[in-house]
Amino acid sequence: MSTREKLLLLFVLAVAPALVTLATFSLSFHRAEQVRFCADCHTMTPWVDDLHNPTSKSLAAMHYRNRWILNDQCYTCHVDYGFLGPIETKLVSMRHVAIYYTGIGMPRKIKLYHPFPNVNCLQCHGPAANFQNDPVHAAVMKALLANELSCVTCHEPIHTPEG
Amino acid sequence: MPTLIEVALISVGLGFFLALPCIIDTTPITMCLFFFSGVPLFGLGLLLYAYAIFKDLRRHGVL
Repeated sequence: MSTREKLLLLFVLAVAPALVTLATFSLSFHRAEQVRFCADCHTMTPWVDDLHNPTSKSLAAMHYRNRWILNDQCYTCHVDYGFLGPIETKLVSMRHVAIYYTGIGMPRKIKLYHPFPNVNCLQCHGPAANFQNDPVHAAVMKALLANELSCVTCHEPIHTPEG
Repeated sequence: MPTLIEVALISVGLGFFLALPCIIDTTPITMCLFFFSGVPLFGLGLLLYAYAIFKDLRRHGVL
């Protein structure tokens, strides 16, 4: 085998797969943040329908309809904003996809693993003047920041899926 | 009987084949196919390639 053939083999069997894997990881993880991706699983259909429902009064639908969140609305609220939050969310999502297709460990009812962390709301609302100057928020700010009082206690309903 | 390199090429070829749909349109199906089948196939190809090199080096008395 000539040196050229050996180099070609190295490229085809080692370099190209590594590049394709990196590119596909990057591309697919980015695309997996889109609402369209979440809507691909039929389990999510009632939630996504609620998001698109023009008469829905749910918090999620209003954020979507009024474009309070411009893009990737599911991901923006459901990623935890800790250091490893985005990675953790994507790993959990991959687990969900595997559960969806294998049926192993499928929950009877969809619910969050942990109570919704206020930081997911506060990452946008926290610095906003109308949030900070609101006397109702100011009165409970410490409890909100400590996650002792949940934003969603007052701001319901979050989702109103039907079906 | 296919050689190690031939099996590695087939394995990596299948990996590329599974990566394509994910690159064109990422859906949970294409993503699962690539992550759970494509990546392991790439890994298998790389392992076989490394083993073929190892065998070749041993045959030539380098190792």
